[in-house]
Amino acid sequence: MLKQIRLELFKLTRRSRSYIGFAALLGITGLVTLGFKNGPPPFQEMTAPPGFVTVGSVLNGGLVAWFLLRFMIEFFLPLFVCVVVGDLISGEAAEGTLKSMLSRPISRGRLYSAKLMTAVIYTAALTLFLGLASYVVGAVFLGRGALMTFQWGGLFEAQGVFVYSEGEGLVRMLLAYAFAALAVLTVGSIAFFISTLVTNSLGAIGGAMIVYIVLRLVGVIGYFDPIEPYLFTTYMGAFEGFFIDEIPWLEIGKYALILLTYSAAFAGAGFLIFRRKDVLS
Amino acid sequence: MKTVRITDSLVVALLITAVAVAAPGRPKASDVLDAVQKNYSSINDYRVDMTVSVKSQEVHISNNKATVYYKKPDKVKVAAKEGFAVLPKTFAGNPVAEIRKNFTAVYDCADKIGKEPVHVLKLKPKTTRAGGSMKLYVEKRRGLILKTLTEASGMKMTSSWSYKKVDGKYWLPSRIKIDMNGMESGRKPGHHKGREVPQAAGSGTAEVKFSNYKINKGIPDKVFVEKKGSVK
Amino acid sequence: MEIVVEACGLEKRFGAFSAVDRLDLVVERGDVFGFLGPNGAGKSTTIRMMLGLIKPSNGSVRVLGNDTWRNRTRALLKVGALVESPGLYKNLTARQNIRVLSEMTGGINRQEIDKALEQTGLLDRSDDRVRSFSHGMKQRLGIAQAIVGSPELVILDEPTNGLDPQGMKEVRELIKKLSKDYGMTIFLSSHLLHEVEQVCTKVAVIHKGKKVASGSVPELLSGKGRLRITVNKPSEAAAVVDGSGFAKVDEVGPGWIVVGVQDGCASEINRRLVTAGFDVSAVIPVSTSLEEFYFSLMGACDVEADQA
Repeated sequence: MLKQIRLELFKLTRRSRSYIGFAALLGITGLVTLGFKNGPPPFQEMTAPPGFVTVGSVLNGGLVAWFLLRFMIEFFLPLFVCVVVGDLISGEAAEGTLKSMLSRPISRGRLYSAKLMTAVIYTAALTLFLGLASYVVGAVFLGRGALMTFQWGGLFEAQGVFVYSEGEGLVRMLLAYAFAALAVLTVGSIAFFISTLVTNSLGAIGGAMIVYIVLRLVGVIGYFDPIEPYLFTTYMGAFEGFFIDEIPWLEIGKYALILLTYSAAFAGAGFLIFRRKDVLS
Repeated sequence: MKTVRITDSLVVALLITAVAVAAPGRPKASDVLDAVQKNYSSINDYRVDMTVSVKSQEVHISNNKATVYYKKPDKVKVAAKEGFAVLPKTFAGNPVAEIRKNFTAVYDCADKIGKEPVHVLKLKPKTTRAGGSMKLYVEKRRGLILKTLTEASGMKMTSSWSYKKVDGKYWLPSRIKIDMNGMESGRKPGHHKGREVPQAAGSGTAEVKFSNYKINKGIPDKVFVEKKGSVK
Repeated sequence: MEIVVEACGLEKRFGAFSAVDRLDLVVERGDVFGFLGPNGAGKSTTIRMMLGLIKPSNGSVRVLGNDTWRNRTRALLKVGALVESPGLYKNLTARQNIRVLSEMTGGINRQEIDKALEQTGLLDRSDDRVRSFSHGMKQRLGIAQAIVGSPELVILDEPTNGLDPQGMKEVRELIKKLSKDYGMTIFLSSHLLHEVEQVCTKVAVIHKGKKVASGSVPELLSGKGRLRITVNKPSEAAAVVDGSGFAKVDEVGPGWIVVGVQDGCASEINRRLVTAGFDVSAVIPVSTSLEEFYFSLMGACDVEADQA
């Protein structure tokens, strides 16, 4: 199994498609850092709440990493994950390599699992790369330091400004990014699922993104409130819990489990299809 | 290190050594302030590490670190240790100098905090910028500020000061605890997704800890010079 | 003889369309088995069922003793295959393409990869990316993927597709060599008659999903053996032949007749004619080409189909 995952990762590293997400995330990080450095500082009115005075600059790698996580998880991270994950099986079908692989004495379950693990690894790698890149680029151009974040309600109804020392901020950031990877994986698993059905990765990518965006839309319309708790998109922002002083572990754990269940359901459905599918391409 | 000189806003902690207020009958407010002021007499300069933690409805600060520099007569500077520092506003600069500059002090009464006899001064702001009126509790025995009580625009804030003896002779604050009781916020209390929502906006506690005092070791003036562009 | 591939009542339907219809096949160890049929006859569908790529609607295929749908991994343990156009990773080199495929199921050493590359004439391009390969080179790389590691059974689906005449010849030589020198069993699908005729020891002909003929190449042609008999009085001789009940005159010419006979009946015909007093100066077998045979089959099938 490890060998198959290694081979899948090897193939992944040889595709230019795999690097689109990394390059784009790095570029966007650069843009944001440039804007923060040279423009008026963001969040100005919030950095010194009533009764407090703030000295020094809250702009640093940590703030960039936090800001980009909030922003990118909405669209770009799911998109760039789907671009690769949605191609993992459909791309091989399109190139005719799927039939070559399945002409080898390897069980479909094993191959599927290796592909799925590759999807998980890629999702984690891309998400954590965003964290690393934004933190490092931010630190180089804006400096390091304590972490200031803000929340306005949301899943945890947390409010106001949250300040952590650099070390604690880093740990919380890492946890938040890890959760975000899990959240993005849910969208990726839809793409992966569709990837077993089609021979064109565009279908998998587009299909997953459409489902994701429609669910997001449904989530903000009051009429659909009764089904909101059943949408995985409702819980994708739960990484914010890691920026609350008393981390709501129980709720985060619950939400993580919900997201994981969705991912597992899509992956499982994909397996049922892949296991019996006629490979005609 | 990004630093800023704090002027009208507050300083946080400041030193005091013990001088008894010797006054028969009703003491004057200025005598009490003089007694507090006298505590600086043997301190030319000091620096101290400060750690701020705040738990309130809308401000959550965990171990935000800064260094405070003080030099006679009224030079004060706070330098953030990790890029920035968010500090609760309590007192400004040299407490006595700040008080004299911004407030009119009137002797209120004698009182006790626990078993410790204290003088209570009423401070009225000369301008609106200085904030609301407050009460200042000064320990009779050593001339130390033990407590402040501020009420302004529905906000009630109490700061309690603890001291320790540094270098065997200087009584300096080791901790200031601040309790804030804010107004009712616009938001309704209640539950949302299983979490209790606190009812008041600015309510909470803050704690400022002081450690690693360095007294009379000499601080060059340039430390207190503002760097361009460092103010945010 | 050990049976390597055995299809029993194999069927594949796509909706109402029957791609493969009740097909029976037996390939024995050492065969170079030609699977002949026009494009769209169901050859690739059959091969995909042999590899467990698609599920039979009915019937089953056993490869090396194991059902290829229910027990794929065991069935394919010693099988190499090229299905239609080779699926290749364009960003990988030829060598990497072989490696990623064969390493999925256990390692393969460099010598074996080199050997496969050499046999397909790709050794000097082994570290070039496939992106730069011509169609023929890709085809040969597909063959290399199929034969690497010396499998017992090699399944090649139209392996000479897109090759130039020289390349075709090389591939045919290679197939013969694999069979002769390495004892591999080869299952070769093709729509090219002469290819099958040149290379294969056994043939099955498939048309519109149905097997219409099978056997060894001489066997297939023998039933249709024809003799050209040089004889005086051909018209009378023809009457004698027709009267014999086991041969039939196809053609009567000046001084000769062409007779269709059952296998092994040539001497009997000769004896009868001589007994009847004819001068038989020569009895020469007329070789029917597989091509003629093939087209006669296809024609017959189409006529049947039209009538039905």
